[in-house]
Amino acid sequence: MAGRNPGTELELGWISKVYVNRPAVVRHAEQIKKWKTVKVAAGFPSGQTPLEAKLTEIRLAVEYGAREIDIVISRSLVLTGQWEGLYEEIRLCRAACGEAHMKTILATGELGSLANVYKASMIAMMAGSDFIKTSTGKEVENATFPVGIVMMRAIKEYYWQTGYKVGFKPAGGIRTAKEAITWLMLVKEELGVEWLTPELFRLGASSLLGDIEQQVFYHVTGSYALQHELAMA
Amino acid sequence: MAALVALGAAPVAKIFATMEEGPIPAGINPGEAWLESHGRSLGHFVAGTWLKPPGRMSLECQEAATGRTVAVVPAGDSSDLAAAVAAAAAAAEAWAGLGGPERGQRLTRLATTLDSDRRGTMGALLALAGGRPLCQTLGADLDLGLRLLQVPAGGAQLGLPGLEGWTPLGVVAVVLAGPCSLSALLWKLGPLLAMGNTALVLSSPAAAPPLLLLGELSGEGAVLPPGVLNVLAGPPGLCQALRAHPEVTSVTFLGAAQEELQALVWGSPCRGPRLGGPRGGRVVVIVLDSADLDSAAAAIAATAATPPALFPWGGCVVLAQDAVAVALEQRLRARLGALRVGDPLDPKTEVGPLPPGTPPPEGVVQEAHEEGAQVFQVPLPPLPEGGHRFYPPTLISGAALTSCCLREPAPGPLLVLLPVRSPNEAVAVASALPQTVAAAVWAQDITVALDTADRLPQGLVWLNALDLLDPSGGCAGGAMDTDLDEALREFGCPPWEQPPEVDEPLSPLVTADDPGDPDLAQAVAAARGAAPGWGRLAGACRARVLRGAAAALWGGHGTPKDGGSGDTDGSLRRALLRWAARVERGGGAVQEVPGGRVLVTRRPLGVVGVAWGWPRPLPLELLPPALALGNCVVVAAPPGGAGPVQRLRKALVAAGLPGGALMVLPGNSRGSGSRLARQRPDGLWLCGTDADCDWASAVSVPRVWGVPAGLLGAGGQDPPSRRRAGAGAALHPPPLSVAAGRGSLRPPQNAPNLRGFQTSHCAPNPRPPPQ
Repeated sequence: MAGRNPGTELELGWISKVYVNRPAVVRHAEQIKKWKTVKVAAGFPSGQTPLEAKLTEIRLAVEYGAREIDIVISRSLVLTGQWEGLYEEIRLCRAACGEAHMKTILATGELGSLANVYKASMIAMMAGSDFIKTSTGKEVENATFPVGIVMMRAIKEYYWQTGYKVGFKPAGGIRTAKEAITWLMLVKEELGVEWLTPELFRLGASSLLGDIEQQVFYHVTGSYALQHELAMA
Repeated sequence: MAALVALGAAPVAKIFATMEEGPIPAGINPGEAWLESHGRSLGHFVAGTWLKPPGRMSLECQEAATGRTVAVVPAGDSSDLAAAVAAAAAAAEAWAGLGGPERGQRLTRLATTLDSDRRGTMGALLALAGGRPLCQTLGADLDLGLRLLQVPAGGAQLGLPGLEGWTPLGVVAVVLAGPCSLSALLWKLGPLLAMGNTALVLSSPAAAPPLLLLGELSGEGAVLPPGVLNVLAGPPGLCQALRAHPEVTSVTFLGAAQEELQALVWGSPCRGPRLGGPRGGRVVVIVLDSADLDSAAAAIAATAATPPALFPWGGCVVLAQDAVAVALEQRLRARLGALRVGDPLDPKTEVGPLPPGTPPPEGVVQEAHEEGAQVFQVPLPPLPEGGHRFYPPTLISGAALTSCCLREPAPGPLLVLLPVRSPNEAVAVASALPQTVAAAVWAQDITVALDTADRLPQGLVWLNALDLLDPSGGCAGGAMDTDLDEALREFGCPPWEQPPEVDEPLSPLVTADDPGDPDLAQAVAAARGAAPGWGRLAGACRARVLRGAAAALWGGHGTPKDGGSGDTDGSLRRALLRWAARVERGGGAVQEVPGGRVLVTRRPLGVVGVAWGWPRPLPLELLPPALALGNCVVVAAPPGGAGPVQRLRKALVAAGLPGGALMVLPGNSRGSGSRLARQRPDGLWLCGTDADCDWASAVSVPRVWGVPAGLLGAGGQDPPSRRRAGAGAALHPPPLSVAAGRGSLRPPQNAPNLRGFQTSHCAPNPRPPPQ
């Protein structure tokens, strides 16, 4: 598949055969919840800037020394089913990034269906992303477990087909340490232990750090910290 | 750091490298605590108190995972059984007299007690004794079990319309002949108690502790009056002693294979016990090319790890369409490799040990390997006791259709994967697999999914889900389905049934080496050939045939053309017309259950045999309902008695009935019941003397009825209609039972005439609110 294998043709025959059963995925997510565990550029946060503007931003950021770039895909391409267009867009961004680490933000809350999330993830990986990320954290619906499950299954399928490991980053809506541990367990179940490293799994959260500090404080001292005892997040 | 190491925890760096899950701090195991409180020596629970007969040999209850003895129970013998039967019989009248609503309330109280404080104890005991992982017994199993108590209780409280005038049977014995989960027991016990019977549970020592806890809970606070629920533990042969007690009106076997049932019944004086019970089986999963493979693989792996609560025996056969078979196998292997095998009391475990008493399926796997199939087994982690009671999750692919692993259900976490070419082939294979209780179809293409589900013979079909069980929608028992109404009816006595009179025991009439009956075999074969076509016709077409026959017989004038021997005036015509109207209306229902909807459709039984012997007249009114609902009937008539039936047949055939749908065989009537049963029809009516049938051959027939003598006696009135109304929406041939006279025959009550599709096209919870 093209992004990491220059010289091969883009092949989209699999697109029509993607099936995701939403109730089953939601049930799976409910079950897991019960278990006892970036320099941004290019269209942030809505992804609706024109492609030329995105590429210029990326080039400038790389010139100024950025080592990690986050791009947001155009959701209109997904919603209208223009998969070649989406692939082309991400491939161009990849080319502009050069050697920098590229994260593709899919804005999964806006994509409409879990099947679309799966297809968009695969296209993003085919076009050369190093990480796929659920959302910017500023949308209405951010990282939920069903979406995470579907994206992780896409990553696994891509790995089986090509041998490349692409990372996963859920962002937005993760506020408690318990949720974070549940994400860790989900990654362990769907992708395996090899993905539980910072090179392949990251959490995008801002208020989460405060909650983790509280939990560590509790385990060490036995009570929760007062507001002034911890740093302002 | 040193402090952590002293606690026995691994160093933090190592944990980050392996990312293994830590141990969950285990408190006191409530199950063990309960056993300790009884001094590890339990007794029988009879008449509301513990019964510990002195000086009795004790049997050990062993933990499923390690074989360690956790408690002892006395070995029950016939004196204990007599005491229990006496207690149950004494309590029967009072319990029945309480009335439906009061009984419903008591059962709800029992469910609440089980739910609130003793939940942990029950879950722990079930995990200890049966080997099912704690996360299941405390979670899905117990929830299902509680619903199985509450839904019949609710039904009894409401007073379901189809059950007016039904009386309870009396004392019912439930024999657990094999490993059985709480839900399977409550699936029978709930309706049983709700209908007003008293129960006597005979269990093996291994499965006894949770049942004794249930008994104790029912006695606490007098939730159930003493004697209503009695639990006895004993050796397997104890149930033979039931034959000596005529007060026991019905016996239900759980977990017994058909051969064992036959062995129990053959040669026994038939004193009236009504047999019944689910038989073990497997789940068939059909994955078509438009399926969500990841979800299907996740669900199948979970089912292999812990089989569904109501049929924990057989493992899973996966039929995958060619286009997706390889991808599905890859995913299944990945999922099976990630399953956690361990001590069932550990909350993290997903795969527990084999149920006590079941041998590991080594032979089956070995044979598959020798035949050239690929066997994928996950190596077992270090387990207590060397893990010889555990079996690793296994996937067999590439097995031949005749291989041993497909011929019989093998216990344990065993999956067999077969590629099929198309939905048609999938349906053919699924129909041919023996001993399957439920099926699942995974396909996102709704037309294909519904069509495939429609053609499968299993009683319970899931669409894009596995193991969604709800008692109000329909639960599978054996290869058949019962909904709430039928489950309650199974333990009730309809108002038209006369109480049995027990005279002499019946003896088998036709021995095993009697020559076969070629005419009968041919007639049944012809009926089987006509059955699919006749059954699949739209209701309106069948109605037209019946109306045409009515018109032909009476020319529309309402006067019978012939003398009508044994046929009351016009009632046959009325029956034909009424059932024509009835079947034109159609049937079926949609039930809403947590997790989705259940489409309940009723299907014809298939081939129904009527064994008619002199001197009873054959009530011809019983033939139109059977035919109207799509069954094919084979009548074995005595010499000289076939006239009216032949006339009816000619009229029906002239109106369009296919040739094989109604076959009449004149001939010898001695033992016609047994001979018909030997041909294995799907239903059997005994309308003759009681020496016509012996139980051993009747065991293999799913539904057996006897026709009461007084059916045609009440002149003027219309007995059949009242009875059919009493049978509610029951579309099967009227469930008349009891042949009055010598002995009493009660039929086994499994009927493949109710099929439910459970679909889950709606997600179980609403979407989380946007954050």
